[in-house]
Amino acid sequence: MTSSSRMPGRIARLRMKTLPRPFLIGSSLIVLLLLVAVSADYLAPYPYDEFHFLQRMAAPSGNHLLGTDEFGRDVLSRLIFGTRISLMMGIGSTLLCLGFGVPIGLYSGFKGRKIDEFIMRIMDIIISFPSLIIGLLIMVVTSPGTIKTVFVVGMIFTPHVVRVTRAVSLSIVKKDFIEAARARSESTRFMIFEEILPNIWGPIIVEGSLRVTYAILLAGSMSFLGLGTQPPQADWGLMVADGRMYVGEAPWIVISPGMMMCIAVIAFNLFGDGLRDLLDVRMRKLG
Amino acid sequence: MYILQRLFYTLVILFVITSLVFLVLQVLPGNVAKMILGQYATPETLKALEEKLGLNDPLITQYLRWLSSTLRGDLGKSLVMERPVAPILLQALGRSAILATITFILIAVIGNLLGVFAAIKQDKALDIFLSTFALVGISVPEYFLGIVLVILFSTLLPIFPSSGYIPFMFSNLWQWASHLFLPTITLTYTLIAHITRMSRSSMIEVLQSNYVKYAEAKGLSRKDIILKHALKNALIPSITVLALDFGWLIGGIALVETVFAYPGFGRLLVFGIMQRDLPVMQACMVVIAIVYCIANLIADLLYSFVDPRIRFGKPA
Repeated sequence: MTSSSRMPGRIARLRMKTLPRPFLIGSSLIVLLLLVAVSADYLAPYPYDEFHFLQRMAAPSGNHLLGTDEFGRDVLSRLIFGTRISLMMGIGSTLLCLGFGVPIGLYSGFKGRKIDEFIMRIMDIIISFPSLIIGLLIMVVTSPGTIKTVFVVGMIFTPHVVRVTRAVSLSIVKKDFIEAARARSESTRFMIFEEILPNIWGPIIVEGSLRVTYAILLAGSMSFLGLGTQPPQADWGLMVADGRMYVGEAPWIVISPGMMMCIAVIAFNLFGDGLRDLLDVRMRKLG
Repeated sequence: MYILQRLFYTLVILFVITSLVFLVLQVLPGNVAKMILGQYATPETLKALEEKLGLNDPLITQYLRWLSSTLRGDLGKSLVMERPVAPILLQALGRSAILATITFILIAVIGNLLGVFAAIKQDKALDIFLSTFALVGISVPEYFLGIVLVILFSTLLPIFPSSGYIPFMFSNLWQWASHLFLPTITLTYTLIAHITRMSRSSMIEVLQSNYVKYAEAKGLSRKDIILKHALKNALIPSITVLALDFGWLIGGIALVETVFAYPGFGRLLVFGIMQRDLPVMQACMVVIAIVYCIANLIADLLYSFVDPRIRFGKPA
């Protein structure tokens, strides 16, 4: 990587007070994407649903930087608004599954024995089904939409968060300060949220940032199959689905949203992996 | 004994999952009778059909009836296609099994190989290249990769067909294979990273273990150490990942078969869900549960085969 040192990679870099490059790339990309999502109204040159019938499937040009789609809608504008929807789905559903999964995982790990066994078996069964299939099943029952996708994806990934949270909380539960809290006969709520939770924020944040990648991909797949975001709105998955029919004549309709999705997922992956390495080093240093 | 125990556990899980599937699908708003009659439903015909289909029986009776006919291999009749589900399902499964098997062999062999190579060359150029390759693989959506491959290899360079399926015959071996090529590549590349990352990290761990250091101290060659000592232990964890990948594979197959218009299980499943074809959905869900349980059972048995500690009751 950097030419700097012969010391074992990570520690050397930390000592130099610089962060690993993949982590930096990841976080700056995320900031950039968030900026685009927030200021979509100002950035987009056209409304995302404005038809230009005379310029259908126009190749990228000065007027339409990324070309137009089959209705003559500006691909760049749709991409920018799509960024807002896709990120909202990815991040929103992740927050949701953290919100449900972390307390359940903490409770399961803290209680142990039968309650733990029971909760984890249920989680196993939910996890055993392919997430995309559960998603489609739930969406078809009711009419699909963006907000509902957020909820469904959040529900689907809750068991994964439960598992991770439980696993890391198990190591804390046996520590002396929990015994002390028990001896003081503190409430379960206090021990879970005030004693255990602050000690496992690191792994939870790492899990959360990696979970975003799965959430973006899953929500995108559902939209791609027509059971997520509904037209005329657009997220990346739906844009790929729309443009698929015209891939021979107008590949740009498909390429740009697909690339955006890859970039976003790579960014969150780099961020999450980097964060894990950093926390790992810190934890090892502290012993 | 261990095997019997696992077998029993698998059957229990299977039973629980199929029951859940039945229950969940019963909750669908608008019952089967309404779906069959569609917009022509009048209260009278609806009532008659409900009676005929036994929809007014208590749930437990319906469940037992469904269970017994499913066990006998009667999966009901598709509401949309108006044909028995079982033969359609079997045919579709056969076609998807081809995709799945090829993909599985590819990810198991190539994925492990890449991971081991990356571990041996840890932090060197090859490792960084392979890690990046794997990162892109887990980040690209299956359907997008599929479309890109179609643009590259059937629009720009017309080498492979962009969609469809051809039954296997010796006379058209190439035709048959060429239709499988792009779908399998798509599935393989999007799944391979899981296994590569796993085998890489476990190989790195093994290479730092004491027995490898001991082997080095004995003066064994690097090649011998890796092939005879490290490799076997490093590959054990990847068994679990392979079993877990089965779930991903089914989701992936649904998307990839949609993109490539490949008439297999994934497309049947998506079709069933989109059309709210209840018997098709139920049948597909049962198949998924069975496949998943078998995959896990095989993984467990493989584990106990390669790691005697598990067989003899000591958790590793």
